[in-house]
Amino acid sequence: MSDKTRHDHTLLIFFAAVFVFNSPLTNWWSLIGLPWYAIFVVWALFILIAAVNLTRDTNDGR
Amino acid sequence: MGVELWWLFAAAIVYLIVLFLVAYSADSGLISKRLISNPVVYSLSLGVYATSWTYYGSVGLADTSGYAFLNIYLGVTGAFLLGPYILKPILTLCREYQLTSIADLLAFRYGGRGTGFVVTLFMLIGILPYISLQIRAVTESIQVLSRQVPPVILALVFCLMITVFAILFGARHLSPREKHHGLVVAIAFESAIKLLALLVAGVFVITQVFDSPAAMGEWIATNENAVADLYTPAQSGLWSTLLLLAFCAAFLLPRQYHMTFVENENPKHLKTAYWLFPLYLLLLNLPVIPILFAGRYLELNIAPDFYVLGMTLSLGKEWLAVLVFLGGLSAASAMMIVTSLALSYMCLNHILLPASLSGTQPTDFYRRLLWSKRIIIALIIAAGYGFYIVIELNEGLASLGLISFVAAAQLLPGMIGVLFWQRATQVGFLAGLIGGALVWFTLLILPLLVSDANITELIPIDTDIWSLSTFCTLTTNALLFVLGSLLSKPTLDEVTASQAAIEQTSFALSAPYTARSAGQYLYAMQQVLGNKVAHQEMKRALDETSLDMDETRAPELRVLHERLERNISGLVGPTLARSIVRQNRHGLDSDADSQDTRLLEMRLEASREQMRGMTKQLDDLRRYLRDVLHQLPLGACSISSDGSVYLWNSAMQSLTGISERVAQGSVISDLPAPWNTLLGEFTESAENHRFSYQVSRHGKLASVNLHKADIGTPANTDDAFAGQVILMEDRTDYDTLEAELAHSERLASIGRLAAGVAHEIGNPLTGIASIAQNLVHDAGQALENNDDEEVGEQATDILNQVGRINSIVHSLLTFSHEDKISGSSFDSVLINQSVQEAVRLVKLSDQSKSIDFDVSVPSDIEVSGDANQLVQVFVNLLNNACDASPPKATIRITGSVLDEQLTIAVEDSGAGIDPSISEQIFEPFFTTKSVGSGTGLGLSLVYSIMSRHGGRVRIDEQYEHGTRIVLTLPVADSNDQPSAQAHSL
Repeated sequence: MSDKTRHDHTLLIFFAAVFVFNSPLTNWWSLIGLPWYAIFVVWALFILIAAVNLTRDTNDGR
Repeated sequence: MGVELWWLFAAAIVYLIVLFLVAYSADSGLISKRLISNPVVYSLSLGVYATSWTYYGSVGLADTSGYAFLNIYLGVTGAFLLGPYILKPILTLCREYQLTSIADLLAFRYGGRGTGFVVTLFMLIGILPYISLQIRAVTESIQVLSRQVPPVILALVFCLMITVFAILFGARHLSPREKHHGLVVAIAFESAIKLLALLVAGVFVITQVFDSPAAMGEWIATNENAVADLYTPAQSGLWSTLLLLAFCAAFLLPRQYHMTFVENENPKHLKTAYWLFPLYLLLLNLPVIPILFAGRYLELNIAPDFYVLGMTLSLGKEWLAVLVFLGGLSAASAMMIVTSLALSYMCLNHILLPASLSGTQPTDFYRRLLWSKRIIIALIIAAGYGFYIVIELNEGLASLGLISFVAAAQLLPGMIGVLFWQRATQVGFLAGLIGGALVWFTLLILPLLVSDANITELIPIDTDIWSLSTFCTLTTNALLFVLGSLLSKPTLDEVTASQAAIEQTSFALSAPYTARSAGQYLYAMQQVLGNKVAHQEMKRALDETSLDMDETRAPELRVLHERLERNISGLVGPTLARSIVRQNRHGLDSDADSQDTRLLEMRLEASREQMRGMTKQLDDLRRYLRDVLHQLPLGACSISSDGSVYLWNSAMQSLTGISERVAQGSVISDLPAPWNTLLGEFTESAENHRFSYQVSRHGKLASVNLHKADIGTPANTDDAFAGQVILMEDRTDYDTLEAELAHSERLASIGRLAAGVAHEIGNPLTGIASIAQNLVHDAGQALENNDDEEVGEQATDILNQVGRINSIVHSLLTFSHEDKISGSSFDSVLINQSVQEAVRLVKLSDQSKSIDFDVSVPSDIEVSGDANQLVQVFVNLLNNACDASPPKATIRITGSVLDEQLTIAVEDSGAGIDPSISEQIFEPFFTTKSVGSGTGLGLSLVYSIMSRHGGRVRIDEQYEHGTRIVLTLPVADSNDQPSAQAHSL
């Protein structure tokens, strides 16, 4: 996997986070009875995915 | 029930002292560098983002806006997710150009003193609400715990303490460019304390307030809408607004910029921070909802902002109350210290120094900077106190923070221009910033100052104030930014800076402007910075660029110019640095920049990482061709149309002893002799080739071929690259070989001549010898008859001289007949026998009768050769040795075998051979003996015979007791036959 591909993954993760946290999807949380800490779990998941992706970078940057 | 004020005060003092000691230990080296320069410490230091707003205000915001409070941290997470695209380029620029604040960065990109001034002024005003938030949080938290002193007094005491510690943390040293290790460690420590305090409070809530997680779950279940209400704001405009504001704040707030970029020690630490800092924020906010629920559960009669404190008091846990208070104090103090430090840099570089540095030389520049910074820190905190006193705010703490967030967001369009839009100009940036600032002031600040001034009521949009103000300010800002940029033309500096910013390359920012010498730069700096600082900065720049004070070459001066501007930028900001270095400069035409190959190469190498596609392929080709030229075995140099050296390859460096660094950029006449004359004459001459040109090199004569050709024609190439290419070929070794070959030919010719002369002389010599013989016979008979005996004596003399001539002829013939000896006539010869035979022959002469011969040659060693010729060799050598030795001397003949090579040495104790003639003694007819004492052919015969036998002869020049001649021959093998042409000696 090239560095460019890894960097593209960074963008994908970002847009996925925007979709989850700032889109009509966000309204569903209040409808399906999630526990109070659910949003923290989702947040932690994105941090974990980003950490795995970024620490695998050999050449940080564009 | 509460906590005694003195107890809180003492705890605060002790905490701040501990903090100072942590910082001092880090600065002094008492803490290991591995612990200081650490990605975890760096990531924790970014926790300065979490201020009292996080500590107290998050609970209040969660109470009114549900999970919208989390967006203040989710937005930061988004910014760090895009770290490789946003944060890393900014960090690269800051490190490359020593930009110590966000105002420096924007002034660097957009140029002009106005940019830095406007940004600084706006940030000063915009951050005041945030500073007052911290003051308010601390005073109100003390009020919650102990209502003994009016808040105004509390605030003043708090501000005085923070001023002292801010100066101690950030303005102790005289070196404004150095990193504040202590500050970073202290802020990281504070972040850890904040996290610990909140987590302990969270654990306390779950285990003490609710008794257990299950109990809390039951309470939540009985309050159906408790969680659902938290998610409701996700449908509102506030949700997106807070995400956007937090995204901007992550790198645009002065304190975040300072800790993320200015205090960064290692760019690699940023990679860890991309995920570790968001994780820290997640953990920090995890207890917020349980604390909110606890406050509601306990039905606390205080503002939700301070539920965390009220909860500890209601259950009688004073120790926890103090711990929580210290967490809040930690959050507030960190923010105020770092913010005042960051703003002080901006004020110094963009307000104070530009106004004060003019004409007169300051006596102690560094000390003046230091005291200026200290005073500015105090003034900033005082201004925050003043804002706190003047403004009355009934909303929660978060409101004050959001006012500053909207202010910081006004820098977003300009930052987009820095990172992505080359067309952005200073005009557009300032128009957008001022427009956005005016709208911000009108919508958010004016209502605080004037109670009836609520402009939002006039705007027919049904949304919260934050969304409205964010939308209005950013829209105004962006529109004016784009329009202003498109309607104005970027200056040359802006174009260069925009390229540097987007590609993060080390561009020469002012390449077309250079001085005539390094001394001019020094003079310009002395006028503004003072003598001492000017010399220090010049020395630093010269060391970093490996240049000298007497440098006058334009390309080198451009490099020096760029380095000086960069270094001074870290001292006084980029705008002032640029104006200082540019004083009294001479503007060159813009083409001068393109002719500067060093700068071009630097730019291309620095931007290589960003190259893609065809650009990268072209650069690969460039590098390949450059390497080809540099590795050519011929010396190659190119001279530009103005007579300066453009290219100077490795072979040229070896040939001339002039390094590429010295040659490149120099005019030919400035090169060391004799190359300046050689190349200068050749470039101006009409001939394109010059062969066997003699030049003195390292004290010896060298021979070079020169070739030249014109490059580039005005019709189809850029004139900047026109000129000449010169190739230099070293033929010194070739000439030496030619001379040796001629020498060999001469020897061969002499051999052929000798044969002819010998034959021509031999015939009449035979006749003369016969006649002389008859005369002797007749004289003998006459003597018997008592006739004249003189005739007989003369006849005898004639015979003797004829005999002598005969021996010379015989030697000549032998010498000339060497070619006829072939390997097929060689036999195995016991070398000891040849030596013994030669000794016997030599002992026959009168001269050698008193000489002692010591022979120690192995008796069983055989060589392949002609026995008679080998005897001849030893006879000649022994005769010479006898001639050179004094009476009763010993001549030693030794032999040894090593690696199938027989070595025989003939040593005498004579006067030795003068080293100056050691190369000539093997030449035919060369002799040091008086006329008639030798033919001069003996050693040349030895030389020839040895060559024919596959051996060699040499003089041992290290032998100091006389002469030692060493013969080397291959030991005979039954299958070996030496070649007819022996290998050369």
